[in-house]
Amino acid sequence: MESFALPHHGVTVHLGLFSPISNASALRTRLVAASTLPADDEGEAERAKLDFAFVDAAMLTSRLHLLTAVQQALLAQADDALKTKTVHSEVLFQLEPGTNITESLKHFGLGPTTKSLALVHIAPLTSVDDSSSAEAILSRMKDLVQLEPSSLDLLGQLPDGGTNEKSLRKYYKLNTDIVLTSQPAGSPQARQALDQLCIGAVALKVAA
Amino acid sequence: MPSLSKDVKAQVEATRLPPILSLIEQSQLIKQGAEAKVYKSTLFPSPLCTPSSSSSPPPPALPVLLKHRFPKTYRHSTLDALLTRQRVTGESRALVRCLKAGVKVPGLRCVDVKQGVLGMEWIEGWSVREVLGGGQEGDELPDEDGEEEEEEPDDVQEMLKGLGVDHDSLLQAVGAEIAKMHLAEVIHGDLTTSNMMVRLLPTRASPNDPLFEVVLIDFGLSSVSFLPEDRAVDLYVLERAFASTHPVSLLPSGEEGVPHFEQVLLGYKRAVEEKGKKGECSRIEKRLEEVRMRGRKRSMVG
Repeated sequence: MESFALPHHGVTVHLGLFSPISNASALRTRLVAASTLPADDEGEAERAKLDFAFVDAAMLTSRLHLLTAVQQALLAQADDALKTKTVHSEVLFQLEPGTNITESLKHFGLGPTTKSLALVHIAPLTSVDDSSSAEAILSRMKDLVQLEPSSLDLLGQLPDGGTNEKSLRKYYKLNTDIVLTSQPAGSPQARQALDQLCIGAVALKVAA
Repeated sequence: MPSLSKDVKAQVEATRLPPILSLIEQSQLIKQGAEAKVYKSTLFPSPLCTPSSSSSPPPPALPVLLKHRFPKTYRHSTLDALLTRQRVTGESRALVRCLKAGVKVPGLRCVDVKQGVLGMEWIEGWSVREVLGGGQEGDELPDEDGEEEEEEPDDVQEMLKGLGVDHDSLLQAVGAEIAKMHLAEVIHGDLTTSNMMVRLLPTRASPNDPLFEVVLIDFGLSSVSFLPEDRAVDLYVLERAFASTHPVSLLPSGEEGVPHFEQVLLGYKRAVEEKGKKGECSRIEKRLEEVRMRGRKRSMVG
């Protein structure tokens, strides 16, 4: 898990990558159920446990891709311009190039067949050296997926073709872009170009 | 250091600045133009890794360039907000359009339309102006994205020469990059030697791989057009920029060699011939001749 202190936003962003997860379907059911629980102590406790952005890591090209979406979500929050209910769901919305929230959850959120999961938790600022809170968040993440975290360097090149480049190209409408068609598929240059285009698409969303 | 972060937080809350502006407050100002201020900053610091025993070291903080179109008090605030908004979106769209076409430009990192801030990938290198050893940074031209290095231009030149980067291949690469941009139907609008950077490429796999790449920057005045007229004007602006700063390369004997712009045009033509439509190159060339005769502005008589 990696924790980024962003003092200008007053938050710390925790990112964890978990691969390969086996309980995607159960986790998703739990997530849906939690949202319909009554607003009593029990319901709130369950929701607090699931207070993360659940991102399908197959749809991420790099940590910067995800961080750019987090950044734009935080900027939207500061502007009082959140399109979704929480800053966590806004991260998923920012990843989606369109304006349809349901589509964004479908494309980039946790699905029943998700094999690699990226968890994002945005918390009030703690000190960079304060590892205790980071430990606590990591153990909460581990409780959900029952797995040790993987290195975020794997994003964009998940083992066994885990990164879904085909869908990324489709959703971000990159299939006719010269920079991708001119490179042999799967080459490091093509991957880098895809990453740059995805980051650009996420950053451009507010301006599009 | 819990106290430090608390202080920072308190400070942020006290001033209630929008986050991107409080980031700018802690950033290093590189350059100020009439339209915008340019800063070097970091959007994401190097993270804390948990568990810390992870095999790989934490990724380093990546520098970014922030371009802040600050509010202009001489305009009505509504108009100012509108213009800033349009220009930030325009510039970021042009950057993405270039990225998609494979033109070397800084990658987009963050956009805040409301505050007028654009975050771009940091390009480590020198402007072509520095490499060619042109005179002082221009007073007459508003080059907002030009980055100044502390080093003396002479050192840069010597270093690049040592690596085997000669002026001719650099200038031809400049031409090729402009050609790619024009074929993507982007017109830069302010082509000067300060608005191009030279970036050294990491170690080469084969000796035929290029040593460096030319990165075009500052798309603040860019527009979208495929007309030979606009492309020719773009080239003409660059020709004038060369003419006023460093027109010709000097041969070791001290004599004057080929004009710099000729080399740029050579690289440009080669790339357009290769990738453009048939006859596109000659149309642009012909138009450039016309533009040279009459100047940048089209005659509006009649």
